[in-house]
Amino acid sequence: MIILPEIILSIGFLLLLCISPFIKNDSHKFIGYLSLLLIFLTQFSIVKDIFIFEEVFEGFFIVDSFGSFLKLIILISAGLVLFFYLIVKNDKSLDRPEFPLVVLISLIGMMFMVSANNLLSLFVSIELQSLALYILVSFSKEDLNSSEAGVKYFVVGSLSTCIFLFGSSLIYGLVGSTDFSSISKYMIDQPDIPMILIIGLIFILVSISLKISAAPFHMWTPDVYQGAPTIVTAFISTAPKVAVFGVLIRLLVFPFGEIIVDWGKLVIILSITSMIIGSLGAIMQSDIKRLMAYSTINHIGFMLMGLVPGTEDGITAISIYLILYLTMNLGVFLFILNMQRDQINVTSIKDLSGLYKTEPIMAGCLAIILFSMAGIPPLAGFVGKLLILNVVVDSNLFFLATLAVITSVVAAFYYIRMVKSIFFDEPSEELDILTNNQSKLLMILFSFFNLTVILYPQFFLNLSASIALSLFALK
Amino acid sequence: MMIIATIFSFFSLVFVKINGESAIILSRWIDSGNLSLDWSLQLNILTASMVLMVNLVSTLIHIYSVGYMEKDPKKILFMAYLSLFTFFMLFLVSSSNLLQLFLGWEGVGLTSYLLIGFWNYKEKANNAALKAFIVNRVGDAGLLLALFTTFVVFGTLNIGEIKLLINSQNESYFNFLGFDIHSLTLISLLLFVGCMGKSAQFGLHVWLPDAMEGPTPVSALIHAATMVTAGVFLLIVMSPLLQSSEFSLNFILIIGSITCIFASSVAVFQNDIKRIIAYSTCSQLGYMFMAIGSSAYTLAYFHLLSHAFFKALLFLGAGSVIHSMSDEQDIKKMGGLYNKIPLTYITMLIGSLSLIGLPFLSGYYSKDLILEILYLNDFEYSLQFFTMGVIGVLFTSIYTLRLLVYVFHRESVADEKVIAHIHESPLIMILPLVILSVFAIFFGMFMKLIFTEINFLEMWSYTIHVDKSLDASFISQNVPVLIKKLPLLMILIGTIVILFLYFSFRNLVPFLKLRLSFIYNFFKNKWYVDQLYERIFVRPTFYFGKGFWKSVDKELIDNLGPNGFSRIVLSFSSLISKLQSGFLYHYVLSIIIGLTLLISLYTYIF
Repeated sequence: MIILPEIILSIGFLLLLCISPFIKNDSHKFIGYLSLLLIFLTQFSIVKDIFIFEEVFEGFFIVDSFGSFLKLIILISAGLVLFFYLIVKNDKSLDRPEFPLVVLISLIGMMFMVSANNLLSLFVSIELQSLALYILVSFSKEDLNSSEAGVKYFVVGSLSTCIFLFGSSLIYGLVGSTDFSSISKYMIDQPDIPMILIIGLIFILVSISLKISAAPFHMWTPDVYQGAPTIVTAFISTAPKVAVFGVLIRLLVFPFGEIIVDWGKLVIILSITSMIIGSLGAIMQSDIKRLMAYSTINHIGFMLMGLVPGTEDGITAISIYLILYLTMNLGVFLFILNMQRDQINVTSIKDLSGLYKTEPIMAGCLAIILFSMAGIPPLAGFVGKLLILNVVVDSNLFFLATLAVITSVVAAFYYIRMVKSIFFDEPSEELDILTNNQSKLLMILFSFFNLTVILYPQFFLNLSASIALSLFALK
Repeated sequence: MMIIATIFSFFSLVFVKINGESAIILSRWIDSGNLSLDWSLQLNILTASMVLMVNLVSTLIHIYSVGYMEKDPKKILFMAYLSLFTFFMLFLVSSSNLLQLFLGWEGVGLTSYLLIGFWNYKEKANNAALKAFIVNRVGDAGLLLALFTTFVVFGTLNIGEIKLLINSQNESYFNFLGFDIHSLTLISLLLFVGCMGKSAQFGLHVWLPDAMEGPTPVSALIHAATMVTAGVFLLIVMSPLLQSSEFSLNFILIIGSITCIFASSVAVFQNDIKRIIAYSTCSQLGYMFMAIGSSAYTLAYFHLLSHAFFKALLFLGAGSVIHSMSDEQDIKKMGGLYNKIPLTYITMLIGSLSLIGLPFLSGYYSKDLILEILYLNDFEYSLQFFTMGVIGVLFTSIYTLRLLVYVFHRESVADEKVIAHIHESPLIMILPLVILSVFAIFFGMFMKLIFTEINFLEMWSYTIHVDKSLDASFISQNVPVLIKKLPLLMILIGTIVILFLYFSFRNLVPFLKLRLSFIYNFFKNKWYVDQLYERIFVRPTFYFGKGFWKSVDKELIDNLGPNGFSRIVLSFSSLISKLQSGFLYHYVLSIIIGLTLLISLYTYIF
């Protein structure tokens, strides 16, 4: 069976849904652990067939190692977030068995997304994923902020859907098919690409930019990141970003690869604005979650830059950057999840001050991860930035590379300001001592990973290069 | 450690004797375009003997320092610096390419800076260290330019390869700002500028006397025996290159002789025991450069080695005197020490006499040979240069004897307290003195042949340029007896003058000082070179520095650069935060605007 992973996940989800009402005590934990097991099984089935290349359902979906690889990353990061959910003390309203189940639905959506090979199937799977995310964001019903964030996310998301559909309909009107390979074939056959097709592509691009929160379509991000429960923020800043980015890569490289001259400039604009807004916007923020939203925008801008040349090297660099970005982001969010004072979660940067005195080990780990985000050698973030810049410079886009470096410097300011307040500021009120040993261990693992990536970059390079190759095999 | 190193370097010299020249390549260093360099050790008769000398003197001074720095709280640091210096010096000496040599060159400059300013609670020491470093930078710039030019002209920095290529580049010209300059002349002049800095030749000599603020073992090791001779050594190594440029040889000769006269005349009027010896070093280096200028590289090297021994001896002796006089350095406040510290006295006496060039001591052989070569030279003005050298000998004997008389023979004028405290230095300090005085006595006598005999000249000629006609027999045949005895005569005159002035006609000295105050002040103030530099370079630099710092750096660059940038960033980021209103319809509007913007951008601009 080619789509075994998706089948396992879907059937498992249905089974869990059925048994969840019958569990009396701590049902969210029980379901959560079973979901983890399910995710693990799915991963196993993906790894088993990672080199398969086949179209299924008459070209509606495609299974290739690029998709399988992204699915693995998505599942791993979602699994980690679920694990955080289980080990960290959450708000009461989150402790319901529906939480892991909704995560599972959105996971199914994402998995179909990255293997979609048709505008229609892509649309349906994006919707599946997004609807689940809207629910997750507004999961704390009692919390006003959470509901507000949910509404904002939903409205903006619906707008994104409209824009996507409009773009798709333009393309369908021209090509007469929504199939990716037909679109690609149309491009090759047609000597002059009609303007309307490219406008259709721009609509799709804008819609996807909304999902990955690339500027100037980022406005919802800070509000949603801040308003959503922290565990949900951790989730929406990782797995869906990977999935949507994977879709963007597949769309631009495969069906629209022929008109790279046209979309290249647009992606440059998106990437520049994202990097500028991501770095400048974060400076005034006082809330870590809000700051992380801008940090995400900045990182997305950086990754978009790697897409501009449309080469295998670019895709390789982006894939590595995605992995490294996940480890950094998850590390920071794990820490935020554990930030409590008098049993109440706090998320202000001020609360970090003097952390070094109470929790030296955690402070060190957080500092490593933040430095890594700032791109300071020899940490992981530096490796990712270096690879992307390398690609950009190779294609003679010196202006873009210079701008990227400048915005990185500005961005480094706010990461390092956090480090400064951890180590040098006098504590206002001390945070609760971290008693969660699993969190501690995970934090150490994340920071250790960030420290040591530089020692074995070849592993990631080979891995990503091989999956990038599979993406280009279609052409 | 140092003792072991010395023993090893002795073996390496023997090894060279047997096996001839070889280079040990340690590892690849630079591979960039045409430039490829190795970390390597050059082994030939020149480097091996130099390494032996450096190690020997360095070992003795390490031993001496144990006693001298005993009460200093930072003595471990001091020893570390000394060893680091020795490492860099060996690095410099044993290099087989110019860049590695330059690295060692900078390294010794750095350690010299650290050691001069070792007593960093003394402001004078700090200033002296800075002065040494800055003046050396001037010379280093010259050396660096020489390196660049060498690379442009020869395409390599390997010394052996350069030597092979010299003949092919004899006619090449280096175009600079439209002037065609004979490239070999340019290189050798630039090299010499580097050497002027490091070897304290006239013009760039100002740092050496001030460097005496450092601990005495430092002066002995760095400012007498090793580092200051690095310049001489470099020119000897590059001798085939120098040989192809007559102009630069003449230039070196002129500068060398000026330095010689200048430094020895100034030394006569100084009162600080270490400064006198420092100026003496300066003038002896002048002799070495004179020898180089007249193409007698072996003799320059001979004088370098023998000078290393007796000058280190003198410095260490001076250190011993200072030690016993409770850190007093003014010779006017000393006197009558000869029976109180007899061992120091005897060794100092040997060193001084060797410096003057009393027959059968090592200084006699090396210096007189240089003078004779000067006389034999077929330059137009060789007689004048010879005369300058001889006058230098006169001054040398005057200041040396003056020092001896003031320190050891006159009746004491020191405080009661200091006198009560006078004591012979401990054995660990005396032992190096004794060993060095053995060298100062016998080195010249035994080694003379190696540097002049025809068979040995053959051996040198593998490594450096040697004019084989100038061997011992030739010299002895062609120099008239009067000329040969002239330096000795000068010494006698000097001795008589000193005895006359300081023993028979005591009153004459103040009288002369008063009458000839103009001349006295001229020499006393070191020909006003320092004041001149102060006026020309130091003050304008400070003035400009202040101006630039205030107007350009603070006002212009800071405001436009870091501060301005951060202001822009802040204003932009507050703008972005303001845009983030929190109202949903604003967000939707922004999305629509973004979409329209992208489409119109695409349609109308791209």
